Amino acid sequence: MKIEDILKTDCILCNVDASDKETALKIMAEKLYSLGYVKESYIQAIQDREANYPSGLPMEDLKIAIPHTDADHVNQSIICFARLPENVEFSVMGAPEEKIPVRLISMFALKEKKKIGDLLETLITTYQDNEVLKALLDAENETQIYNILHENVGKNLKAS
Amino acid sequence: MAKKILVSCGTAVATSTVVLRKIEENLQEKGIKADLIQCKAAEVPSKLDGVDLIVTTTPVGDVGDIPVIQTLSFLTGIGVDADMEKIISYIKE
Repeated sequence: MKIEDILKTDCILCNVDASDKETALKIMAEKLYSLGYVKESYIQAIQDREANYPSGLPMEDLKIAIPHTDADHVNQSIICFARLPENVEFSVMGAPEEKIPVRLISMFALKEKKKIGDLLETLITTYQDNEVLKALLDAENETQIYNILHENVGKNLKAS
Repeated sequence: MAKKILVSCGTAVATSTVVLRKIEENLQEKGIKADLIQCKAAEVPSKLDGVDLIVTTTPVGDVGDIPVIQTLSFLTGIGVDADMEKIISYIKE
């Protein structure tokens, strides 16, 4: 998997005006659907998955969420990245009773089911670097966000 | 015989997979072998047979005398080294 195959500027949204995570996920999923990357069923599936298996990462300083859902709903693998002007509340991955404030959402849709673990690990490793999260929050536009993700997710992505 | 580590999270889907991989990589780097098994936190009390250590992201029920490390370090990156030291102290011969 190469970063160029799953990262496109048209799926980077640097100002998603959403007052809760459901709205943010809806905007992102509808974007992927409108561009043909996912099936219509993905839009509801991403909500259900987040409700049952939350994806907030409780880093020490800046936080991020990494929602995804099953490969069945996907036409073509893609990362969708969104930045919000205000925090919304996400539950913590692996510890659903904990809540964290989130302004960065790194959604993905993967067609190959067996690669989901690899990409999750890659994204988590990338976002464990607070400097990367800070750069994503401070980026001026979609192109800058693209470049940060290209460099940092790209270098952690396994060649396989 | 390799020690058995049960890795659990609230859901046993993506999270414990990532935690398990991170622990496995860290142990490999140090040349330590262990059997890692993932499950849901709720399943832990029924899967204790032969288990030497439990690493979990969320509270587990009654596990008797088996040591439990509850941590989010493998997701957040904060405190991984300290947790690995703890894990190794429990599983070394």
